[in-house]
Amino acid sequence: MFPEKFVERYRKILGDETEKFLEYMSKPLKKSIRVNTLKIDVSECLRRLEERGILLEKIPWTESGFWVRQKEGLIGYTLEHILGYIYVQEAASMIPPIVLAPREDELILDMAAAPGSKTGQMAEMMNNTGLILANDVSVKRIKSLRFNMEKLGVINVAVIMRDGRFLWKKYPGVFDRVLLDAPCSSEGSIRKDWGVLNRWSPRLVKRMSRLQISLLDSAVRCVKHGGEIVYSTCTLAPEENEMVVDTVLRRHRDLRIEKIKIPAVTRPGLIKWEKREFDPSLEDTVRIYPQDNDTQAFFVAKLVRE
Amino acid sequence: MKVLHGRKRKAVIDYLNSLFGIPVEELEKYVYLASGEKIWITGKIEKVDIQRLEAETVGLGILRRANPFKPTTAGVQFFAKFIKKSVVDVNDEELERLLKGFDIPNRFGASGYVVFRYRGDIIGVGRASVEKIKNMIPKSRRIPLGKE
Ligand SMILES: C[S@@+](CC[C@H](N)C(=O)[O-])C[C@H]1O[C@@H](n2cnc3c(N)ncnc32)[C@H](O)[C@@H]1O
Repeated sequence: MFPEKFVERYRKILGDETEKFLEYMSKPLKKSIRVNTLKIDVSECLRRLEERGILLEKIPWTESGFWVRQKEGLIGYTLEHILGYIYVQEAASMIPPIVLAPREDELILDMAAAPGSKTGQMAEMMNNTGLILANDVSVKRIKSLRFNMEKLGVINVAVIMRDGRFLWKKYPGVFDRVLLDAPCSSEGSIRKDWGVLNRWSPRLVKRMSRLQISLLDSAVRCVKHGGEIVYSTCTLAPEENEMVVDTVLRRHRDLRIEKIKIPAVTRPGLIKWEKREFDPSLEDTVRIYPQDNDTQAFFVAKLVRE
Repeated sequence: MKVLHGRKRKAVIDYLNSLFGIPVEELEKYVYLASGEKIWITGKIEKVDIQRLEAETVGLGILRRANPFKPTTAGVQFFAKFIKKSVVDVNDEELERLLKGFDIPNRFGASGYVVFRYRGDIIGVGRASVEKIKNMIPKSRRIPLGKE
């Protein structure tokens, strides 16, 4: 089922736990939603959904996120969904915005934003104030971003369509915070889409890694001094995570890693992979394994530009 | 995207105020921009000159230009709490018809643009003629309701 090389790589990190990891990687994902607090109070929304017989379980790392326990197929057809009171979003994918913690009236860059799940979440955290510049290269995906923002009633998002690698030329040192939810080999999405596995190869991982380094380098240049950057991917490949952060960290003397604290089961970032040793502070980044919280896999790093 | 000032800004505010009864003080809180066939709304932002961002779009499309304007579903939902006028309260059957993309009979004696409301929720916009109210809710939002 899983390519041999894929398994071999994880055995190096997880040892005996690899089987459990693969078992979780093959299970379907639990469905989860976020209440759109721009349109409705969490308690009011819960009351309405419960009246429809939909059972919800709170996701520990957010006040407005819930796992859907019953009637899974139906949630998309509820009036609450049609009116944009709720948004279907995977539980682990809610973590990067929480780590970035954008505040009201700030200026934020969402460098690889489409289809805008995290953009919408940030807009809610900012209570529709300030401005999020949402960028993506894909026309098609920007269309869904626009659609999602409209449905959620978001007014603080401006949309641009450029190659994120060069955004720093246009917006040097401009933003209070930058989110780079990078394109990746999407290993973490295997639970959602088995096709990912057919496209997976060590070559893809290397290619993504190069792109991610350029994007993160650009993200660092876009943030103002004193500002923060969150780098996230939905893969656990070290070449696309710790190695990317380590490479960019070495290029910028004013950059440091900040420890992430979040009420989810996380594991520290690697400080060594194959022949390469990383900066010890990479330990303060987090790996979210599917078997730990029964979510999608994720990697998240928080950086401060001093 | 061009920020609207003066007369053009006032035209947007007056339109929304007279059609839906949204208080002028509320409408004054926002910035309005024009681009293509739409009028967009965003908050007042101090940190940046939005025109200099050279974004493709900024904010939420609330009106379409159409002699003078045509409200959008996203727009009326944004001001949901403040809408006092041009509202029709639909029943279960009418709601279902609307969400399936059909028009509904004008049993309300309404005229011009109206907002469909169902048990306090703003569902979208329509346009009333003598016999019927034309459904203007975007296709992408007309998902059939699940049978409970
Ligand atoms: C993981 S997805 C982003 C998901 C999104 N943040 C969300 O939460 O809905 C990565 C995105 O990066 C975009 N992308 C790929 N290469 C890019 C580049 N060079 N510059 C900007 N965006 C890029 C892809 O089109 C894709 O939409």
